[in-house]
Amino acid sequence: MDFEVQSLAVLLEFLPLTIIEFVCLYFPLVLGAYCTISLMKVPDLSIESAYVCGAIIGARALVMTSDMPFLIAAVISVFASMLGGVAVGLTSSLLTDKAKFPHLLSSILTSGMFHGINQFILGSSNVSIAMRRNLIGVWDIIKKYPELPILVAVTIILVIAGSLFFHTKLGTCLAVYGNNPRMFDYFGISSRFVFISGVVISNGLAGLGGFFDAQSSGFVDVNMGGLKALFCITSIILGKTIVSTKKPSSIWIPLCGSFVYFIIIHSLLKVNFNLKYFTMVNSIIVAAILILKHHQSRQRANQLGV
Amino acid sequence: MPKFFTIEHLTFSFDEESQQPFFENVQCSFRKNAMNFIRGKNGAGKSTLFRILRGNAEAHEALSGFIQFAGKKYDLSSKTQRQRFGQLVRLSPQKFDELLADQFNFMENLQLSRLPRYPGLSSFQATTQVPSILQRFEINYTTPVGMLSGGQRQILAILMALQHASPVLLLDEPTAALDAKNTQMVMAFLQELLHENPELTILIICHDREVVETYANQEYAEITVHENGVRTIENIIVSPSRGQ
Repeated sequence: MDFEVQSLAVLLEFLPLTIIEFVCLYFPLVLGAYCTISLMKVPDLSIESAYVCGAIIGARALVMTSDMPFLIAAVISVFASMLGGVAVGLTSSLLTDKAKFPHLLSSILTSGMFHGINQFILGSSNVSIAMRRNLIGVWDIIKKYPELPILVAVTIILVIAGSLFFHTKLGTCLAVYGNNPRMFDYFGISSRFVFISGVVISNGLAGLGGFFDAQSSGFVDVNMGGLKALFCITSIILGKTIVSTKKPSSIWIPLCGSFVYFIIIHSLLKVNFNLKYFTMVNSIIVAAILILKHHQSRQRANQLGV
Repeated sequence: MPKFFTIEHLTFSFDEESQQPFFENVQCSFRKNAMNFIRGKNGAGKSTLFRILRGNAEAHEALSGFIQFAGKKYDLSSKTQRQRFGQLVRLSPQKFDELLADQFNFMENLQLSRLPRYPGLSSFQATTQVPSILQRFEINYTTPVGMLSGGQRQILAILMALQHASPVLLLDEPTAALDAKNTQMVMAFLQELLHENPELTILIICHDREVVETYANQEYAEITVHENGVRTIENIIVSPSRGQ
């Protein structure tokens, strides 16, 4: 028993609530990226734009609903942020589907378009919302971590909803799309529908993640999406490395992956590593794991989902 | 066995303006509930013939002739009638892996082939009932199909192609990528399939003379390329099959 208590103390010391808070804060974004980048094997860089657009639209909705009751304001702001992400996803997926661009080009062009649109909506490069209502900090039962309870609750909802979604026909088709998109046409299944749905759902989740980030940090910046795709890829690769599953999709991959990601950051902070160099560490982690996997099983890099 | 599937006066060229047809006045017939082999060298037009049978002729291509099938006559010069016959036909392509999702197991793949055009948010549940026809083939239904043998994957591709209960199954070189053991397995499966489905007619493109002469029942169709480039098809009588 003493041993168990000691182990728990060590665990809590090593895993402070900050890590859990960050995992929950970014979970919608990583889950969205998991759907496209990992399951569908689509290089969906537009999640970065969706992240920013979701933050901006969500923040605008927050301002516009400041006189409304909390619950109504929360529902409207959350939906608005997801709609912002959906708009980005719809643009990039339609460019790929209708204009027949490679999706990488579509998402780069979409990012360019929405950089302007986001600036226009925001009015300047960045805007503070620190004085506005913090929807995710309203249930402050843990004084030092006021946002934690809501974030954990939202993450639990997303984990349950995500698990259920991966077992639906559409959720299964996202994994099939990454496995063999040509099979849809043989069986009269609309690959266009599967592709657009997957990208839209993914970007909608990224928009929600952007809104949470804006709420937590107290400001919105048109460049806040920078390098978020690399963060997502690192988390997913870490998740795929530690979660062993025979199933084509698993909600634990994005969850455990981002958990390990923030443990690595926390560990580097403990040894006084300057986090401005962490992007380099990100890339090295991804490259090292992919090289190792390739040598172990001669698996091609895209089998890991990127 | 009755010949209830015949192609009559089929003439086809890739370009409407072309003076030289690709197929000219092709006449051939196939047997119901049998493996009908179509043999020919590479480039003889075997795959083009299958494309015509599936109703996929392009607008710039010239096509005429008739198909008689199950007492009905389809005019190949009419796009509507071509497509109507095409709906009765299912193809398992030469690259049969294009039909399969490697990460999913056998039963999940079978279920995938039954999905609606717009898959929604209802639950995806793999079939649990193993088709009786498979019981003697010792297939592991729980491992990802990427780990099954070529023959077993081909059997799955054929079963998936047949999910919509079509009366005509087209197989494009089903044994080209298989060794002798797997070829035997696939052929045994096809015989079993015909036994279970009395209404089914199978057309098999095959360039391997040994396979054709072993498994063809009495006769097969041979595509001949003439010196002027025109193709015709004739039925070749073979000795009673050794593989039956």
